[in-house]
Amino acid sequence: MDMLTLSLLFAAATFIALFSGMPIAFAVGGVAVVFMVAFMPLSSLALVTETIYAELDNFTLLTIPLFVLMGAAIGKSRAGEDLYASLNRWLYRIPGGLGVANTLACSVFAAMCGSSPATCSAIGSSGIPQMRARGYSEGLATGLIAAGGTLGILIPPSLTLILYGLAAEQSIGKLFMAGVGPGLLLTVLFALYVMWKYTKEKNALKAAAASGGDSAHALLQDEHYSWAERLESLPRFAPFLAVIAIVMIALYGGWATPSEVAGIGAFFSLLMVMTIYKCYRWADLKVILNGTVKESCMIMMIIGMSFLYTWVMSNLSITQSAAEWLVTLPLGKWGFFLAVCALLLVLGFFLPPVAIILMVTPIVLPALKAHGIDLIWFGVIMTILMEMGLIHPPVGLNIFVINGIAPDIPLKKIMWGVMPFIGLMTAAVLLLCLLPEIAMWLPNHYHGS
Amino acid sequence: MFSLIAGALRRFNRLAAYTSGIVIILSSMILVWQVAVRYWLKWPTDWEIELCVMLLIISTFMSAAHTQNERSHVTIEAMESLLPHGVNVLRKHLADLLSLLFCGFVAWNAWHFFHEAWVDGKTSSSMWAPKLWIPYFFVALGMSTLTLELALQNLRRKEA
Repeated sequence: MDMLTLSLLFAAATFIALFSGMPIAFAVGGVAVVFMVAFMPLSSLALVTETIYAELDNFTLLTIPLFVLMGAAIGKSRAGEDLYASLNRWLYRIPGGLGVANTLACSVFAAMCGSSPATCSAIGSSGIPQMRARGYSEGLATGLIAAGGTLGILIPPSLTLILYGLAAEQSIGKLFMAGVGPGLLLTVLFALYVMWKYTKEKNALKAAAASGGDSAHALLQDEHYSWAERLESLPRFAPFLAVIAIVMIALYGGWATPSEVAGIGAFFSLLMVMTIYKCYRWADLKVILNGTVKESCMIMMIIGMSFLYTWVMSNLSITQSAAEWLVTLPLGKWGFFLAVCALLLVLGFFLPPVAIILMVTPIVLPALKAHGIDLIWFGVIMTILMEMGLIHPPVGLNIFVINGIAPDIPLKKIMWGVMPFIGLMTAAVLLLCLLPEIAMWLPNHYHGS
Repeated sequence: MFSLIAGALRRFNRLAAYTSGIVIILSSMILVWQVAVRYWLKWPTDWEIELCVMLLIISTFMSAAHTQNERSHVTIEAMESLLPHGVNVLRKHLADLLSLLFCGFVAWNAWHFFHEAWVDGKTSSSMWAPKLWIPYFFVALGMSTLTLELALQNLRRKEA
């Protein structure tokens, strides 16, 4: 069988298995085993478990269960609510202050947990009801939290960047630093949009009230916090700042590697949740343990099986042939970059980031290198594209997390609510293409010094 | 009899999952210990990372059946709304059956892997050199309970 037919057959089998409804981990693993039986010596089957184990036996992968534990512990407490309520007291004077507070809370929360759904759920479960109570439109409230949640996979620590670092053999520390600038950029873009949208909605309501409409609408009511109330909220920041400070000092102060930092972050987050938020009863711990093992096992299984899948691809020379074909495509650097972005975006509509990164990166990596594309910078772009997939229908995991938090809001409204944020993310990608220093200044400066 | 086996398996898987969660917490504590003694006391650290990696692999496989029991291994359900009900039922049945076959094969393969390590007395190549049959045993056990869980889910779907 020629290489093109084999490659197409492999791709078709993968899509059929994935869309059959099999769990992604078993689907990719199953395709790998079937192709081993059909196209490799039967003796290679004895290596299945060994390959999976050897790939999981990796120091960098330690970060995943530990950051998941960190997210689950913080997500279980009312830390998210405290965070955004405190921020709101300081930001209430600016237009859309509550929305901006939610955006910032998502960013701060993301800096403590590398998971997008965890950020979405922790901030959204109290943020969405509050924004609705204050008269924000349902689309704006839900879209903001769904999009804000995606910051969880861009602002370090980020599970997506860790996996990309593994697949592309890039420094996790450098990738983390490269995620800071774009994370802040997206936070600012989201906050500016909320301020603009809030002002627009408020002006429309004012105009309606002036012509005899509803003047008692919640959005038209002013809120006020005294200095005493604002200062009283400051101690609520302290635990977050302490955990973030410990993680940052350990990582960038050269005390610990990213994997060790994951352990430190998980341990101190759990300690914070157990002591400050009093989540030490078995009933509380059970929820944290259950959430941690389910998410961590799901991700690690996909990783293990994806490694088996890419190992089979490589043994059958599919990876090498596809990479060679991609290198010879007469697209030029930016044409190739756009084509890869389009592919990632389309895959992101159906597949979770973990599967896309592990399956696509080995194929596009040689071509990216051949075109002289910086792999750290590309990792950030890839992560933003994955973020879009998280809020884009039909799969859009965060949309369904929001749907779980606010089941009375129709899914259609949530989907329309996220659309402006997808536009903002596209704008961020364009800005990063024009000004790569947004991502690269920090890693270049840090490593340069 | 069926419900008795299903109940016992569910209880075992839940216990294994909570233990796996505690193992992850234990790993985080070991890493904090490692950083502290290496940075402040300048002690050599040679076993901590390897132990943590082993513990996390064990926790992954030992919680796989519980994760499946709660249907938390993520799937793509994009076809759900596009296909007629009857076809969807058949598709899900087939997906469960194929998952069972795959996990069954890996479980069988994992027991061979464990047996080989046990008989040959394999150890890791590090200075600490722990016996490798220990983590391999949990990989095989975890994949076996996952296979059993999938078998029960297949039977339940057939009965329904």
